Amino acid sequence: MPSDHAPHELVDTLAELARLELSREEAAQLGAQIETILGYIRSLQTVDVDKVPEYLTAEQPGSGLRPDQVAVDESFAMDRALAGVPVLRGRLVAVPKFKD
Amino acid sequence: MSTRDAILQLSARSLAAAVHDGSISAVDATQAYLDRLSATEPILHAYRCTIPERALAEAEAIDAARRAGEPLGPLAGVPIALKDIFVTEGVATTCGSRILDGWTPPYQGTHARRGAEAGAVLLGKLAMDEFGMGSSNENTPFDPVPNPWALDHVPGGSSGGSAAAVAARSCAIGLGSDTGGSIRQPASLCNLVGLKPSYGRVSRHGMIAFASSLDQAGPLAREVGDAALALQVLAGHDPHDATSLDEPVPDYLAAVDRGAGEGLGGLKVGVDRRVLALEGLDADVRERFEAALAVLVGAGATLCEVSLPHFDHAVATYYVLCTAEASSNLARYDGIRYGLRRARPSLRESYEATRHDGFGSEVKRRILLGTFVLRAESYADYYGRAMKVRTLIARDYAAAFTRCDVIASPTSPVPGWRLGEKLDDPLAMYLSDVFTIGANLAGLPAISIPAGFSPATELRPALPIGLQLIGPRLGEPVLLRVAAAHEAATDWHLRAPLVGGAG
Repeated sequence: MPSDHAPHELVDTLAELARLELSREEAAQLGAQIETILGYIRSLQTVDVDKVPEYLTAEQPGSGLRPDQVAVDESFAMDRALAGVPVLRGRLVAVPKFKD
Repeated sequence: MSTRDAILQLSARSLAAAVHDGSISAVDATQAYLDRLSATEPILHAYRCTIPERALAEAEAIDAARRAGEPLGPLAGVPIALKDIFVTEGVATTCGSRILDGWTPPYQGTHARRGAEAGAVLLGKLAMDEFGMGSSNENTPFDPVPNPWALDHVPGGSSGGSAAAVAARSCAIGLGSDTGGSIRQPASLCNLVGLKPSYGRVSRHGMIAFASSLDQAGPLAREVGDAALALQVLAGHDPHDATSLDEPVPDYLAAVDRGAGEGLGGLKVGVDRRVLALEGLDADVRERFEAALAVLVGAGATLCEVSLPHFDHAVATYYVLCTAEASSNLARYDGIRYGLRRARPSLRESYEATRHDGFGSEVKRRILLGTFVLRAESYADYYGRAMKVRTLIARDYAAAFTRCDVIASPTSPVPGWRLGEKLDDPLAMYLSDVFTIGANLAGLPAISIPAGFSPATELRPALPIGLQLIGPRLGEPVLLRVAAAHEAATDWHLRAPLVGGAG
């Protein structure tokens, strides 16, 4: 299943979707490598998967979801959580402008 | 032999016993390892950071507890180190990435907490491929780690720092993580035991996510008993991880002692001979594999043929699924709440610039691939199809385990390669995972154990080679039993590299 884009167009589209800035050199190199890797991955098209379900992680008795209640972890104080934030405004996480 | 050297030569299991009976203090054990890493680190750069003062304080507390007659944990006084993928409260955690450089976690992950509760002394954090993505430890903005057995060769990856440190005796046990072979392959390349538990056996809480349906934590150790001891401490249900299994934890050390003492009578080792015809399987690896099988037969096991019909599709399946999960998991690194931040006029430009500067090439490559396979227009042909092939691969293993107790193969198709050799060829790097990926896709436990060395030639030095054993789900005891029987009949695990002076 060949992609319907030229390599650099494809990589530009993917980078935009992934919120990833790429230099022209990076885009050219990564685009060529991704084409090679996708060529290898397309070997999966030869496998007969008719009536095969998608994989489910092995059943997990007694595990899984906890009660649907607010859990308060006293050890995880807000000050410590905020200590790693790159830019704060008071006790709020500062972000650049995102709408006009 | 000095006291220091005598301490370094002990297995973790023996060292813990000596701390328990008071013949060695936790402080002396910790100081011996700190002295050792001072000698090896200028050469290996296996540690991202060390915390000697904190380690000695922890060791003093253990010695004080012993003097007060308090009970000691199973790893009391054993100096360990964690791959830098494990979150440690108050100790910098980078996950091998510039995007987390300078971040100090505000909480303790389950692995660090269980290690501390068991009395282990944390020496520091270990180098790795960025976000666990790599097989050579070269995908890093920090210093690459050489193989202690041959300094111009790679130690494997992504837990390459863990492997180099344990091999060089600069920690007694190293914790690693394994998404497609990242514990077993570096263990193989560095003459170590590397154990990837069944999916869910060990918590993932506080292990920074790469591909959540594949990631598992496990030990790298010099001996099988040390790996069993570490697993005993790590295994068990964790309410902080919804995928952690709430099932009883068996006595792993008993399984080791049984293998070493009783051998392998009645045990069947499955081999799929077809996969040994793989192009690129090194002749020395093949030779050591056959020799290891002969050791298992000598211990009482019988060999049987098994068939893994979809083996050839495992690497392609893996690189669809792990990149899809990575692209999703790594979306959280946006420069807003923690880590690197590049200020730009708009939010979107800030995201894009932060991620450009923070991520290395391999991480970018995988995010882009994962974004491709998850796009609406390619989902069914790539992600959906790979999830179906994953079912077929899991079924192959389930069928094989109706005929045998463990499945044996080489761990890596080649011994360690030269630094830089595969850096420009990501697909060649991916194909080196061919034997290890299946256990991750099927959620099965697997172990790599020392199986000898390639002979030194004009082309390459003598390099370690590993044997991989895969077990049925929650079959860690049978893996440990077989591994211990192999270890009891060989002395590969006793060999140490000469880096930094004799250990």
